[in-house]
Amino acid sequence: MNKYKKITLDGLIFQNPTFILALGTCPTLGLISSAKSAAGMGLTVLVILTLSNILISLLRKVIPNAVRIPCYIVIIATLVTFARMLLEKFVPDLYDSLGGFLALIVVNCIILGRAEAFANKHNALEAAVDGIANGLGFTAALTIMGIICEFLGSGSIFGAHIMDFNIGMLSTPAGAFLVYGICIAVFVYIVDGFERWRRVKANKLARGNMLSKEEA
Amino acid sequence: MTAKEFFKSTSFKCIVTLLSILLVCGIFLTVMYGLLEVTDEERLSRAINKIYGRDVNNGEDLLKDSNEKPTYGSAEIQQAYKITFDDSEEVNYLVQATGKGGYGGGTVTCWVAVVISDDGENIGGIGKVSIASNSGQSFISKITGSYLDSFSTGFEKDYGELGFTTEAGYLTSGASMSSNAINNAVNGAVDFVDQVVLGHTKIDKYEGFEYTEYINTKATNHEVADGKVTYTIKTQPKGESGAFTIKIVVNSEKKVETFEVQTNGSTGGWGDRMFDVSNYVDKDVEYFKSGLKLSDTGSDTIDKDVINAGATHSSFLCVYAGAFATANYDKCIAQGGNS
Repeated sequence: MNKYKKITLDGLIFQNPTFILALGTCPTLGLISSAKSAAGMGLTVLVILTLSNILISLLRKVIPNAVRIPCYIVIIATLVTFARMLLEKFVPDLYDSLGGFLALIVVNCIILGRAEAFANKHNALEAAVDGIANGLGFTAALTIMGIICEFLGSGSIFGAHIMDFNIGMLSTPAGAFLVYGICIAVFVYIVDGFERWRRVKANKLARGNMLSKEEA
Repeated sequence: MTAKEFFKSTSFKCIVTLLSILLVCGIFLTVMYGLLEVTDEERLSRAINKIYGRDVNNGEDLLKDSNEKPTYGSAEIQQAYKITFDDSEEVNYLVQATGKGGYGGGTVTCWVAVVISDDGENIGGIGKVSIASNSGQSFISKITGSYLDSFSTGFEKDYGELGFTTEAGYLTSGASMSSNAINNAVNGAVDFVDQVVLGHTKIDKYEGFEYTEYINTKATNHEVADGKVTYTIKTQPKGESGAFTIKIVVNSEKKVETFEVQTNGSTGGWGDRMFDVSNYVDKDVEYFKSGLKLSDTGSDTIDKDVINAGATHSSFLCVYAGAFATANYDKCIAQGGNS
């Protein structure tokens, strides 16, 4: 499989940071009561994750191993502060809705995790693709759960009123936890089913090749 | 380790790398802060545009020469601006007022857009009310947009001479104390514009009366007949207790003849545990002042050896109303009725 395709599929699906690795749970539970906030947080993390991956990859040969974590934290904190400034200046509504969770991106496990596990071992292009893929995986997961929670908890989607019936509990972090658990179960079930189907298909192909070799 | 060895060591490399990254990041953020700083004026302009939903000119600051924050009723005025629009000749006054009397003695700060009538001489209505901040209001999230909009739609109907009251159709279930603070903020903002901008004088019929701190003087009235003063007293809320409406008749001996609670402001089912109000009948001001240790300055304490029934705030408001009625008998007789 093409290297970049594998990195992309891993970040989006097979190593999805939210549903498979269960990383970044704090902003996930705090923000998915509103689809708009969830998508905004996802996109902010996407940009910061991509930039931090690129920078850390470029600096990986300069930064000594002993101080790599403090260096990563400083770089990530700088990017988060820069993102906060940009959002406050140009998207104040999103800045207000993300509140304290914006500053907490500094300690988001996904960003530090990808820096440590991927960016410091690969070149800048691969690190950028990994950042985008993981960021998209995180954004998609948050947005899907945000839509579910907002629809069932407030009867609206992205602020547009849809129905009067709602289950208020789903607008709270406790309800978000419930939706998060159900989404993980469904996602893992689908991914497992797909991988089983892929293994069966590969086995059939291998057996067919073996039979054709024997016949020959 | 020699100096030469230190400069060649990994430790030195670590220090230099970390400090270099810190320096570069620090310079980058300093430059970006200079470029992207959001000034106080910009924040204010955004807040105002958000309230109106369109671009406005936040022109004149009405409090720029004022060192003290003016108080109107139970509200403190924080900011006030004359607002004009590019696309119309409409003039609004945007007032940020902090209303007291919220849950647990807390406050709610609101932006109130006050509209002036076409002739420019009177208050024309309330354009919009939005909450800016609050202190200690746990249930503020129960205040809905439609509740805040009701100030605009109910202006003529409910504001009148009395101002908005929590009972005027605006009681929000689960956040009645917070909604009381919002009412106070809106009333204060409207009074500020009416008196300061339009120059109207508001006559407080109970100015100079005793025990008015916990009495809603706007909503309180009295009648005088046959040497008796019949009060319909509306109290302010206090602590966990909402406002009471109490009918008190004071006879020519300056003693309470009738003490009837018409609206019980007790919340959470504590009303049944209040000190029995029939105890106040045939009592004079000395009973309320000395007997119950209610101070002349309107101290918010009462003798808990006498009234210790589990609904202290509610009992206090009744005692306070009794003190107000009996202490001001002579003034009411001199003034005549005002209902």
